[in-house]
Amino acid sequence: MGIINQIKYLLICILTVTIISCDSNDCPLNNVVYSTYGFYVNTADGEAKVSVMDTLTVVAAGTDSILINRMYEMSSIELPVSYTSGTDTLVFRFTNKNKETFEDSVFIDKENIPHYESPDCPTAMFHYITGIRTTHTLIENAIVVHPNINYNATENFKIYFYSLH
Amino acid sequence: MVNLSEQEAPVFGGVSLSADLVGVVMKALKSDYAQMEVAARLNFKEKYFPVFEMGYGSCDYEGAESGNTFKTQAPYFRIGMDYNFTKKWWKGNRLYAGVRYAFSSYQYDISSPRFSDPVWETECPFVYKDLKGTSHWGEVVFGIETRIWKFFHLGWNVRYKFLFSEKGSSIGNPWYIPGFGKFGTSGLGGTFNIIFDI
Repeated sequence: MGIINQIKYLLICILTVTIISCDSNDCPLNNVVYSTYGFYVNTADGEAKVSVMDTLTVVAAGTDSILINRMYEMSSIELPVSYTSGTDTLVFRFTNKNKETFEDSVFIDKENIPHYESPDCPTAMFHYITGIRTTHTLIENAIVVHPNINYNATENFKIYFYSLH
Repeated sequence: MVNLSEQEAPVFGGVSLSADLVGVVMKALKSDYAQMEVAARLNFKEKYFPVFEMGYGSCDYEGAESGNTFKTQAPYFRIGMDYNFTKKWWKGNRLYAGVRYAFSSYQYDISSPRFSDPVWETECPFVYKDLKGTSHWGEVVFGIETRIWKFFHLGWNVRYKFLFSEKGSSIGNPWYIPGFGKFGTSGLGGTFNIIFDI
Protein backbone atom coordinates (compact mmCIF):
# COMPACT_ATOMS: atom_id res chain seq x y z
CA MET A 1 0.00 0.00 0.00
CA GLY A 2 1.61 3.23 -1.11
CA ILE A 3 1.98 6.36 0.96
CA ILE A 4 -0.49 8.25 -1.25
CA ASN A 5 -3.15 5.62 -0.69
CA GLN A 6 -2.39 5.64 2.99
CA ILE A 7 -2.84 9.40 3.17
CA LYS A 8 -6.20 8.98 1.42
CA TYR A 9 -7.23 6.42 4.02
CA LEU A 10 -6.03 8.73 6.76
CA LEU A 11 -8.14 11.62 5.46
CA ILE A 12 -11.20 9.39 5.19
CA CYS A 13 -10.60 8.22 8.72
CA ILE A 14 -10.25 11.73 10.12
CA LEU A 15 -13.43 12.80 8.33
CA THR A 16 -15.33 9.82 9.70
CA VAL A 17 -14.14 10.39 13.24
CA THR A 18 -14.94 14.10 12.98
CA ILE A 19 -18.49 13.39 11.80
CA ILE A 20 -19.12 10.75 14.43
CA SER A 21 -17.68 12.83 17.23
CA CYS A 22 -20.02 15.77 16.63
CA ASP A 23 -22.06 15.69 19.79
CA SER A 24 -24.34 17.87 21.80
CA ASN A 25 -24.43 18.84 25.43
CA ASP A 26 -26.94 16.80 27.38
CA CYS A 27 -27.48 19.30 30.12
CA PRO A 28 -30.51 18.94 32.42
CA LEU A 29 -33.28 21.28 31.35
CA ASN A 30 -33.56 22.71 34.83
CA ASN A 31 -30.61 23.03 37.16
CA VAL A 32 -32.72 23.89 40.22
CA VAL A 33 -33.85 20.86 42.19
CA TYR A 34 -37.08 20.86 44.16
CA SER A 35 -38.35 18.97 47.18
CA THR A 36 -41.83 17.50 46.88
CA TYR A 37 -44.34 17.46 49.71
CA GLY A 38 -47.47 15.30 49.65
CA PHE A 39 -50.44 16.08 51.87
CA TYR A 40 -52.11 13.28 53.82
CA VAL A 41 -54.39 12.50 56.73
CA ASN A 42 -54.26 9.46 58.93
CA THR A 43 -57.32 7.27 58.58
CA ALA A 44 -58.58 4.11 60.21
CA ASP A 45 -57.26 2.21 57.20
CA GLY A 46 -53.88 3.91 57.20
CA GLU A 47 -53.56 7.14 55.30
CA ALA A 48 -55.28 9.04 52.51
CA LYS A 49 -54.06 11.78 50.25
CA VAL A 50 -55.93 15.04 50.70
CA SER A 51 -56.17 18.42 49.07
CA VAL A 52 -55.64 21.44 51.25
CA MET A 53 -58.82 23.43 50.87
CA ASP A 54 -57.49 26.51 52.68
CA THR A 55 -55.37 29.00 50.83
CA LEU A 56 -51.72 28.04 51.35
CA THR A 57 -48.76 30.39 51.32
CA VAL A 58 -45.25 29.15 52.04
CA VAL A 59 -42.39 31.49 52.86
CA ALA A 60 -38.73 30.82 53.55
CA ALA A 61 -38.02 32.09 57.06
CA GLY A 62 -35.30 34.68 57.17
CA THR A 63 -35.86 35.82 53.59
CA ASP A 64 -38.37 37.89 51.67
CA SER A 65 -39.04 34.97 49.38
CA ILE A 66 -42.57 33.67 48.95
CA LEU A 67 -42.21 30.11 47.68
CA ILE A 68 -45.92 29.35 47.28
CA ASN A 69 -48.41 32.17 47.01
CA ARG A 70 -52.05 31.58 47.94
CA MET A 71 -52.54 28.23 46.30
CA TYR A 72 -55.54 26.09 47.10
CA GLU A 73 -56.91 22.62 46.49
CA MET A 74 -53.42 21.23 46.18
CA SER A 75 -52.52 17.71 47.25
CA SER A 76 -48.78 18.23 46.78
CA ILE A 77 -46.34 21.08 46.34
CA GLU A 78 -42.75 21.54 45.16
CA LEU A 79 -40.41 23.81 47.06
CA PRO A 80 -36.80 24.86 46.47
CA VAL A 81 -34.11 23.96 49.00
CA SER A 82 -31.39 26.29 50.26
CA TYR A 83 -27.89 25.66 48.92
CA THR A 84 -25.81 26.27 52.01
CA SER A 85 -27.88 26.07 55.19
CA GLY A 86 -27.95 22.90 57.27
CA THR A 87 -31.59 23.52 58.22
CA ASP A 88 -34.30 25.24 56.20
CA THR A 89 -37.19 26.78 58.08
CA LEU A 90 -40.37 27.08 56.06
CA VAL A 91 -43.53 28.78 57.27
CA PHE A 92 -46.75 27.20 56.02
CA ARG A 93 -49.54 29.78 56.30
CA PHE A 94 -53.13 28.58 55.88
CA THR A 95 -56.02 31.02 55.45
CA ASN A 96 -59.56 29.69 55.51
CA LYS A 97 -62.74 31.16 54.04
CA ASN A 98 -63.34 33.07 57.26
CA LYS A 99 -60.02 34.85 56.76
CA GLU A 100 -58.58 33.06 59.76
CA THR A 101 -54.88 32.36 59.41
CA PHE A 102 -52.99 29.44 60.95
CA GLU A 103 -49.26 28.90 60.76
CA ASP A 104 -46.99 25.93 61.06
CA SER A 105 -43.23 25.95 60.77
CA VAL A 106 -41.45 23.09 59.03
CA PHE A 107 -37.78 22.46 59.73
CA ILE A 108 -35.82 20.49 57.15
CA ASP A 109 -32.45 19.14 58.32
CA LYS A 110 -30.17 18.23 55.43
CA GLU A 111 -26.76 17.85 53.92
CA ASN A 112 -25.97 19.86 50.80
CA ILE A 113 -24.17 18.00 48.03
CA PRO A 114 -22.67 20.08 45.20
CA HIS A 115 -23.28 18.52 41.81
CA TYR A 116 -21.14 19.17 38.74
CA GLU A 117 -22.57 17.81 35.51
CA SER A 118 -19.95 19.13 33.06
CA PRO A 119 -18.15 22.38 32.22
CA ASP A 120 -20.89 23.16 29.70
CA CYS A 121 -23.80 22.65 32.10
CA PRO A 122 -24.94 24.73 35.04
CA THR A 123 -23.89 23.47 38.43
CA ALA A 124 -26.55 22.40 40.90
CA MET A 125 -26.92 21.59 44.56
CA PHE A 126 -28.37 18.23 45.53
CA HIS A 127 -29.47 17.43 49.07
CA TYR A 128 -29.72 14.53 51.46
CA ILE A 129 -32.47 14.93 54.04
CA THR A 130 -31.54 13.89 57.55
CA GLY A 131 -34.77 14.87 59.27
CA ILE A 132 -38.00 16.88 59.31
CA ARG A 133 -39.70 18.55 62.26
CA THR A 134 -42.82 20.69 62.46
CA THR A 135 -44.96 22.68 64.79
CA HIS A 136 -48.45 21.27 65.27
CA THR A 137 -51.10 23.87 64.66
CA LEU A 138 -52.61 22.07 61.68
CA ILE A 139 -49.86 19.61 60.91
CA GLU A 140 -50.03 16.45 62.95
CA ASN A 141 -46.84 14.86 61.75
CA ALA A 142 -44.31 14.79 58.90
CA ILE A 143 -41.99 12.07 57.65
CA VAL A 144 -39.22 11.71 55.11
CA VAL A 145 -40.12 9.34 52.26
CA HIS A 146 -37.16 9.76 49.91
CA PRO A 147 -34.18 11.54 51.43
CA ASN A 148 -32.37 12.29 48.17
CA ILE A 149 -33.35 15.52 46.46
CA ASN A 150 -31.91 15.63 42.96
CA TYR A 151 -33.02 15.74 39.32
CA ASN A 152 -35.25 12.71 39.87
CA ALA A 153 -38.48 14.32 41.00
CA THR A 154 -40.20 12.16 43.58
CA GLU A 155 -42.18 12.68 46.73
CA ASN A 156 -39.68 13.47 49.45
CA PHE A 157 -41.99 14.26 52.38
CA LYS A 158 -45.41 13.30 53.65
CA ILE A 159 -47.19 15.98 55.64
CA TYR A 160 -50.02 14.61 57.79
CA PHE A 161 -52.75 17.05 58.80
CA TYR A 162 -55.16 16.70 61.64
CA SER A 163 -58.21 15.19 60.03
CA LEU A 164 -60.62 17.83 61.43
CA HIS A 165 -59.16 20.45 59.11
CA MET B 1 19.80 -14.39 -3.22
CA VAL B 2 17.11 -15.36 -0.71
CA ASN B 3 13.51 -15.05 -1.84
CA LEU B 4 11.68 -13.75 1.23
CA SER B 5 8.29 -14.74 -0.11
CA GLU B 6 9.33 -18.35 0.15
CA GLN B 7 10.51 -17.97 3.73
CA GLU B 8 8.52 -18.24 6.86
CA ALA B 9 8.50 -15.14 8.96
CA PRO B 10 10.96 -15.31 11.87
CA VAL B 11 9.51 -16.29 15.22
CA PHE B 12 10.76 -13.08 16.76
CA GLY B 13 10.81 -10.18 14.34
CA GLY B 14 12.12 -7.53 16.70
CA VAL B 15 10.95 -4.54 18.69
CA SER B 16 9.58 -1.29 17.43
CA LEU B 17 8.95 2.03 19.13
CA SER B 18 6.34 4.51 18.02
CA ALA B 19 4.96 7.92 18.83
CA ASP B 20 1.55 9.39 18.10
CA LEU B 21 1.41 12.63 16.13
CA VAL B 22 -2.30 13.35 16.70
CA GLY B 23 -1.65 14.35 20.29
CA VAL B 24 1.22 16.62 19.23
CA VAL B 25 -1.06 18.36 16.72
CA MET B 26 -3.86 18.69 19.28
CA LYS B 27 -1.40 20.17 21.74
CA ALA B 28 -0.04 22.59 19.14
CA LEU B 29 -3.56 23.68 18.19
CA LYS B 30 -4.37 24.25 21.86
CA SER B 31 -7.21 21.79 21.77
CA ASP B 32 -9.46 21.43 24.83
CA TYR B 33 -7.55 18.29 25.63
CA ALA B 34 -4.59 16.40 24.25
CA GLN B 35 -2.66 13.25 24.97
CA MET B 36 0.96 12.58 24.13
CA GLU B 37 1.61 8.91 23.58
CA VAL B 38 4.40 6.44 22.86
CA ALA B 39 4.31 2.69 22.42
CA ALA B 40 6.61 -0.31 22.37
CA ARG B 41 5.69 -3.34 20.32
CA LEU B 42 7.04 -6.85 19.88
CA ASN B 43 6.81 -8.76 16.63
CA PHE B 44 6.17 -12.50 16.61
CA LYS B 45 6.06 -14.20 13.21
CA GLU B 46 4.85 -10.95 11.63
CA LYS B 47 1.38 -11.89 12.88
CA TYR B 48 1.21 -11.26 16.58
CA PHE B 49 2.23 -7.92 18.04
CA PRO B 50 2.01 -7.58 21.82
CA VAL B 51 1.99 -3.86 22.51
CA PHE B 52 2.41 -1.60 25.51
CA GLU B 53 1.31 2.00 25.21
CA MET B 54 1.71 4.83 27.66
CA GLY B 55 0.80 8.45 27.43
CA TYR B 56 0.10 11.63 29.27
CA GLY B 57 -3.30 13.24 28.91
CA SER B 58 -4.08 16.81 29.83
CA CYS B 59 -7.16 18.98 29.76
CA ASP B 60 -7.82 22.58 30.70
CA TYR B 61 -11.31 23.48 29.60
CA GLU B 62 -13.73 26.27 30.39
CA GLY B 63 -17.37 26.14 29.36
CA ALA B 64 -18.11 29.07 27.08
CA GLU B 65 -21.51 29.86 28.56
CA SER B 66 -21.29 28.50 32.09
CA GLY B 67 -17.77 29.60 32.94
CA ASN B 68 -17.30 26.22 34.64
CA THR B 69 -13.82 24.81 34.43
CA PHE B 70 -12.35 21.33 34.35
CA LYS B 71 -8.65 20.60 34.65
CA THR B 72 -6.62 17.44 34.85
CA GLN B 73 -3.33 15.93 33.75
CA ALA B 74 -2.23 12.38 34.34
CA PRO B 75 -0.55 9.37 32.74
CA TYR B 76 -2.39 6.42 31.30
CA PHE B 77 -1.37 2.93 30.26
CA ARG B 78 -2.58 0.34 27.79
CA ILE B 79 -1.57 -3.21 27.11
CA GLY B 80 -2.85 -5.47 24.37
CA MET B 81 -2.09 -7.21 21.13
CA ASP B 82 -2.52 -6.65 17.39
CA TYR B 83 -2.99 -9.29 14.74
CA ASN B 84 -1.66 -8.66 11.23
CA PHE B 85 -3.94 -9.89 8.45
CA THR B 86 -1.60 -9.33 5.51
CA LYS B 87 -0.01 -12.42 3.94
CA LYS B 88 2.94 -10.74 2.19
CA TRP B 89 4.78 -9.94 5.39
CA TRP B 90 8.09 -9.22 3.67
CA LYS B 91 6.68 -6.07 2.03
CA GLY B 92 6.45 -4.37 5.41
CA ASN B 93 2.84 -3.29 5.08
CA ARG B 94 0.35 -4.32 7.71
CA LEU B 95 -3.39 -4.37 8.08
CA TYR B 96 -4.23 -5.20 11.64
CA ALA B 97 -6.84 -5.40 14.32
CA GLY B 98 -6.25 -5.56 18.03
CA VAL B 99 -7.55 -5.15 21.52
CA ARG B 100 -6.36 -3.14 24.50
CA TYR B 101 -6.94 -2.96 28.19
CA ALA B 102 -6.35 0.56 29.47
CA PHE B 103 -6.11 2.21 32.86
CA SER B 104 -5.65 5.67 34.29
CA SER B 105 -5.60 7.05 37.82
CA TYR B 106 -5.86 10.82 37.98
CA GLN B 107 -6.85 13.87 39.94
CA TYR B 108 -9.04 16.66 38.63
CA ASP B 109 -10.11 20.18 39.54
CA ILE B 110 -13.56 21.60 38.91
CA SER B 111 -14.92 25.05 39.58
CA SER B 112 -17.89 27.25 38.89
CA PRO B 113 -17.47 31.00 39.29
CA ARG B 114 -21.14 31.91 39.36
CA PHE B 115 -23.06 29.75 41.76
CA SER B 116 -25.58 31.54 43.92
CA ASP B 117 -28.77 30.51 45.66
CA PRO B 118 -31.64 32.34 43.89
CA VAL B 119 -34.04 32.08 46.85
CA TRP B 120 -31.92 32.34 49.98
CA GLU B 121 -29.49 34.64 48.14
CA THR B 122 -26.33 33.10 49.52
CA GLU B 123 -23.16 32.74 47.51
CA CYS B 124 -21.92 29.20 47.26
CA PRO B 125 -18.22 28.78 46.50
CA PHE B 126 -17.77 25.95 44.04
CA VAL B 127 -14.09 25.18 43.75
CA TYR B 128 -12.89 21.62 44.26
CA LYS B 129 -9.32 20.55 43.72
CA ASP B 130 -7.58 17.19 43.59
CA LEU B 131 -10.71 15.09 43.25
CA LYS B 132 -9.62 11.52 42.67
CA GLY B 133 -10.69 9.35 39.78
CA THR B 134 -9.80 5.93 38.42
CA SER B 135 -10.92 4.53 35.07
CA HIS B 136 -10.56 1.17 33.34
CA TRP B 137 -11.57 0.70 29.75
CA GLY B 138 -11.11 -1.49 26.72
CA GLU B 139 -10.35 -0.64 23.11
CA VAL B 140 -10.87 -2.38 19.80
CA VAL B 141 -8.26 -1.21 17.32
CA PHE B 142 -8.18 -1.31 13.55
CA GLY B 143 -5.28 0.13 11.61
CA ILE B 144 -2.82 0.03 8.78
CA GLU B 145 0.85 0.84 8.47
CA THR B 146 3.38 0.90 5.72
CA ARG B 147 7.14 0.79 5.54
CA ILE B 148 8.51 4.09 4.31
CA TRP B 149 12.22 3.31 4.51
CA LYS B 150 14.04 0.32 5.96
CA PHE B 151 13.22 0.58 9.67
CA PHE B 152 10.88 3.55 9.40
CA HIS B 153 7.09 3.05 9.19
CA LEU B 154 4.04 5.28 9.18
CA GLY B 155 0.61 4.10 10.26
CA TRP B 156 -2.71 5.07 11.65
CA ASN B 157 -5.43 3.39 13.54
CA VAL B 158 -8.94 4.04 14.78
CA ARG B 159 -10.13 2.86 18.15
CA TYR B 160 -13.51 2.13 19.62
CA LYS B 161 -13.29 2.65 23.36
CA PHE B 162 -15.70 1.37 25.96
CA LEU B 163 -15.57 2.11 29.65
CA PHE B 164 -15.37 -0.88 32.01
CA SER B 165 -15.54 1.15 35.20
CA GLU B 166 -15.06 4.67 36.40
CA LYS B 167 -14.74 5.87 39.95
CA GLY B 168 -14.92 9.60 40.35
CA SER B 169 -15.96 12.04 43.02
CA SER B 170 -19.56 12.18 44.29
CA ILE B 171 -19.49 15.88 43.38
CA GLY B 172 -19.19 15.15 39.68
CA ASN B 173 -17.69 12.83 37.12
CA PRO B 174 -14.56 13.86 35.21
CA TRP B 175 -15.31 15.62 31.94
CA TYR B 176 -12.20 14.12 30.38
CA ILE B 177 -10.42 10.88 31.23
CA PRO B 178 -6.71 10.81 30.28
CA GLY B 179 -6.26 8.33 27.44
CA PHE B 180 -9.99 7.71 27.02
CA GLY B 181 -11.23 11.13 25.99
CA LYS B 182 -14.44 12.88 26.91
CA PHE B 183 -16.38 11.08 29.61
CA GLY B 184 -18.99 8.62 28.40
CA THR B 185 -19.67 4.92 28.25
CA SER B 186 -17.96 4.70 24.86
CA GLY B 187 -16.05 6.81 22.39
CA LEU B 188 -13.94 6.88 19.28
CA GLY B 189 -10.32 7.80 18.94
CA GLY B 190 -7.34 7.32 16.72
CA THR B 191 -3.64 7.77 16.39
CA PHE B 192 -1.23 8.54 13.56
CA ASN B 193 2.06 6.91 14.35
CA ILE B 194 5.66 7.20 13.36
CA ILE B 195 7.26 3.83 13.98
CA PHE B 196 10.89 2.80 14.22
CA ASP B 197 12.09 -0.79 14.21
CA ILE B 198 15.00 -1.21 16.59
